[in-house]
Amino acid sequence: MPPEDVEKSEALARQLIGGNRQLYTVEHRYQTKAGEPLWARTTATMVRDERGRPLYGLVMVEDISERRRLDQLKDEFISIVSHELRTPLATVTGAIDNMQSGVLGPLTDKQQHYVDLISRNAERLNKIIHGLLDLSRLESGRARVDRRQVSLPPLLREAIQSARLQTAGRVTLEESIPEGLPAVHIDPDLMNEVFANLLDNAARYARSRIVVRAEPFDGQESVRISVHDDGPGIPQEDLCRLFNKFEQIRRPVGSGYKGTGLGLPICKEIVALHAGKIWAESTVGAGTTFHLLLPQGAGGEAGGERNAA
Amino acid sequence: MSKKRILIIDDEPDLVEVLRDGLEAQGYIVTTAGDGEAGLAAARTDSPNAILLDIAMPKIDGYEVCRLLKADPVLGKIPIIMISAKAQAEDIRQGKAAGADEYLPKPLQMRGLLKTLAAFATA
Ligand SMILES: Nc1ncnc2c1ncn2[C@@H]1O[C@H](COP(=O)(O)OP(=O)(O)OP(=O)(O)O)[C@@H](O)[C@H]1O
Ligand SMILES: [Mg+2]
Repeated sequence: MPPEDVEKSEALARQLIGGNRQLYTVEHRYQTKAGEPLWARTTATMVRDERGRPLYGLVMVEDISERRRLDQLKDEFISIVSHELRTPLATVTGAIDNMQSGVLGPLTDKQQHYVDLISRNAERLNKIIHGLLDLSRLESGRARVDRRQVSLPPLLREAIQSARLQTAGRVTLEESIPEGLPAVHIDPDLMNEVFANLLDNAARYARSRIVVRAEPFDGQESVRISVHDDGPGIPQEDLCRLFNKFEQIRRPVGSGYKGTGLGLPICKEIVALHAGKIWAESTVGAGTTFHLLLPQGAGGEAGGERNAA
Repeated sequence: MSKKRILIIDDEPDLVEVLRDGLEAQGYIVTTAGDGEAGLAAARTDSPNAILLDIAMPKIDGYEVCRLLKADPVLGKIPIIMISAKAQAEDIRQGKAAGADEYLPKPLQMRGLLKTLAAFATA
């Protein structure tokens, strides 16, 4: 087992014994005596007496090499397919692009309408291909993750700024982000995708106002970020489906917008990679709030609560 | 200002046609090659101001074409813009490592392509 994995496991075990954690799951790569790679998933928990003193540890180790191998095959398959899909798509969008910019001369209104419609749908197809590829890499744990100590306020403000440009004054974006927020151990590019999607969703549904809040949570252990909108809200029974692939609960009225339904599942995977949590609260008629909990420092390591999140 | 010359190296004739139409409409002179080998030859004979280079091609792929061109004392100065359906961050890193001056994922946005060409096809 690689030394950094040993360190990670030890840190998790200490948290378990100390009572800061109920359960952890990690996946590690080992080598068999014959030199073959072997993937094992370890799940550990602590059994305590009625006064909370540790009695004994319960550890389960599973051989998941076969699942890993299949994940890898799936990844390769999706990556080849997406390349094969994008190639003809590139020709379609190129041709439409030329027509839109008048290379073939002026278009009638109906032609213009068709050209716009093809362009929109080609863009959507491209987004789906991109999203599927990202999701498949994240799910199989093969995404490149580059975590470092990151100060959240500038990252959040940048995301808010580009959301402002997108909404072009249709909604106001307010922020409450204290400068003294503890730094978090994240991949800024990946986390930026999460912020962008939450803001994109909020902007699509908000009636007039979005509020982004960040605050220390649980002492200084983690940071909570929330994105609130005053849109139509999401019915209670639909909340749990939000993070399912391709799930689109309801389209904003009259907007004609068709997303991919991959945004939130991707967010969930990225957040889980950071051992964080993401969930939604909503009141129909009053609005929706998405909450994001990011543990501070390297404590909550990647894969930590992958399946528990 | 004299017209700039662009060499497109791509094995998809349909896409090449579309790109040619778009670029010619903007006043560029376009020459084309359908695979890496022909591309290397055309880079010599067509003296382009910039090259649009696909990656996945038969015989010599775009990475290799890029490396060979960039190793040449004269041709190495021609800006190379990689265009590829491999659009993930990892692919872009690899393209830049092969010496590409810029990397544009397919589907290309004509507006973005024109902006890039305006920046690179200067000499
Ligand atoms: N702030 C919100 N208010 C109301 N409904 C929401 C909100 N955010 C998400 N939803 C619902 O959840 C669904 C899934 O969102 P998700 O981000 O996964 O996909 P999408 O936004 O439809 O597509 P994409 O992210 O590719 O644009 C949305 O289609 C919408 O029905
Ligand atoms: Mg979305």
